[in-house]
Amino acid sequence: MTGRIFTIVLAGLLVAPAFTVVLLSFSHSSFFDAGFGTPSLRWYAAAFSPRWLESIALSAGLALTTALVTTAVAIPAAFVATRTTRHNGWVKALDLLVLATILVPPISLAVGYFRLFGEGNFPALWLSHLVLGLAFPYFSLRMGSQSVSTSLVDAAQLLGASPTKAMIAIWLPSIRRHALLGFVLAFLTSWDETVLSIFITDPATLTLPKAIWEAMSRERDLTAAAINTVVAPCLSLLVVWLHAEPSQARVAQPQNPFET
Amino acid sequence: MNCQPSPVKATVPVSVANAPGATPHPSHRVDQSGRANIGLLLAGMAALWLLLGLGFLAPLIEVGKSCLAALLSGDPQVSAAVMAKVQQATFLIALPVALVATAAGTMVAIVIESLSNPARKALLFLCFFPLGVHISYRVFGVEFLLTGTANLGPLLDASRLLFTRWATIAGLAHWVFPVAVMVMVTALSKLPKTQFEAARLLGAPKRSLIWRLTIPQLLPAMLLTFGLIFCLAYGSYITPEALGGIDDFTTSRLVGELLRQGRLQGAALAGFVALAVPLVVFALVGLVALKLQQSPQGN
Repeated sequence: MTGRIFTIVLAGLLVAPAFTVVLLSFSHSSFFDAGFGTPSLRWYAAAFSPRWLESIALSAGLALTTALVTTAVAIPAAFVATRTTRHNGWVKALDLLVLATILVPPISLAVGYFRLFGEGNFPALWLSHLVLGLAFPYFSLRMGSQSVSTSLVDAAQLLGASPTKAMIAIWLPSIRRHALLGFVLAFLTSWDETVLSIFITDPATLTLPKAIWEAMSRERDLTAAAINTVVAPCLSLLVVWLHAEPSQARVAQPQNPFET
Repeated sequence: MNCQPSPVKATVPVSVANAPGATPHPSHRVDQSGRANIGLLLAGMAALWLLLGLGFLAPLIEVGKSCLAALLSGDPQVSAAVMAKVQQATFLIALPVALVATAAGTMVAIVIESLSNPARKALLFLCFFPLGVHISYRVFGVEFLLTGTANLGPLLDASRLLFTRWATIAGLAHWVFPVAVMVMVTALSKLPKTQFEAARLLGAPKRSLIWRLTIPQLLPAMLLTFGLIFCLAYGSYITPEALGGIDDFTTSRLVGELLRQGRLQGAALAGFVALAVPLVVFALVGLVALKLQQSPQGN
C-alpha cells in the first residue's frame, strides 16, 4: 500500500506542470509573482481573437490531414508487413526505418529540410509532420495485428476475398481501436510539433505551437492556457479510452487457472 | 512455415470462358479482381516508401552531405572543444531523464495493472493528460512550479534550480513520463496473467511477484523504453531552450543557435552528431534487449 501511494504521488508530481495550465487559464495576471488574483475568464475571451483563431484553424487542419494521410498510408503497409512470412528482411528494414522517424531529433530534420526546401515552404512543413506522425498508426496497427488470428484473414482469402477485401472487411475492423489510437497519436504529434514550425516556416505562417512558443517567450500570454484547458482533457480522455483494454477482453483473461 | 493460402486458380475450360455471352466463373472473376486489388496494396506501400524517402531519408542525406562538406572545407563553424562540451552536457541531462522516466513509468504501470477498472482509468488519465497540453505550456508549467516553491521555505525552495541542468532534467522527465507509462503499460499487459495467479496461490508475497516474476520479464521492454526516452531527451530542443542555462547547452540548442546565425555547415555538423549519437545508443540498447529476450530466462 505504501509503495502504491508513493508511486501515485510520484506520478502526480511528474504530471503536475501540465495541470498548472488549468489553474493559470483562470488567472487574472500573467506574472508569477503577482499572485493568482481574482479568477478571470479573460484568457478564454482572448482565445476568440482572429490571431489565435487563425493559428488554431491552421494547426487543426494540419493535424487532421496529417493523421488522415498517415493512417491511410500505414494501413496497407502494416497489413502487408504483418502478412509477409517469407523474405521478411524488408519488413524488418521498414520497421527500423519507421522507428527511426521517432528517434531522430526534429532539429536535425529541420536542418535537412532547411537545406532541401528552404524557408517558408508550407508543403515541406506538412511533409515533415507526415513523417513525424507516421510511426504511431504504423506501430499501433502492427501491435494490434498480434491480437488478431491470421487464420481469419487466411479463411477469408481462401473463400475468395481479395487481399484488399480481406484487409478492409476482416483485418481492419478487428483492430479498429488500434487504428483509431494511431490516428489520435498522429494528430497529437502534429498538433504539438513546435521545432520544425519554428525553423522552416516564414514569419507569416503561425501554427498554434509556434504562436504559443512566441507568446510565452515574449509576452507571457496565457491565452493558450485556456485553449489547452479545453482541448487537453478531450484528447487525453480519447487516448485513455482507446489505450485501455476493452473490459470484455480483460474479463475473458483467465484469472485463476485452478478455479473451479 | 508458409502460412499464405494458395491462390485460387481458374479452372474454367478456355472454350467455355471465351464463348460469346459466357458468364465468367466465380473463381476466375475473383482471381482477376484479386490481381487488380493487389495493386491497391502495392500503391499504399509505394506511398509509404515515397513518404519516407522524400520526407525522411532525403533531408538526412542532405545533413550528412553538408556535414561532410563542413569537415572537408576546413571551417566547420563549430570547434571540436565546443562540440565535446555540448555532448557531455547533453549526455548528463539525457541519461538521468531516461533512468527516472523508465523507473517511474515501470512503477506506475505495475500499480495501474493492480487497480480496479475505474481507478485504472483515472490514473491513466492523470498520466496521459500532459499529452494533450502543448509542450511550450508544459515547460511553462515547470517554470511556474519551480518559481512557486520559493514561498515554501528554504528547504523546499527549488526556484534556484531554474535555468540550470536540474530544471532541464525536471522538465524533460515531465515531458517524457507519459510516453514511458504508455510503453510500459502496453508491455505489462502482454505478460501472461496465469503465472501471477499461480504464484499467488502458491503463497508468493507481492514483493516476490514484482521482483522475481514481473521485472525480469519486463527487462527487455524497460531497456527499449530507456533507449527511446534517451533518444527523445537527447534530441529535445524546446525544454532545454526554455529551462536550461548557458552552461548546459545541449546539442539541439547548439543546432538551433547555429541555424539562427545562418551558419548552416556548423548546424549540419551538429545536427549530424545529434542524430547519430541517439541512434547508436538505441541500437546498442536494442541489441542487449534482444539478447535478453532470447535468453532462457527471458522466455
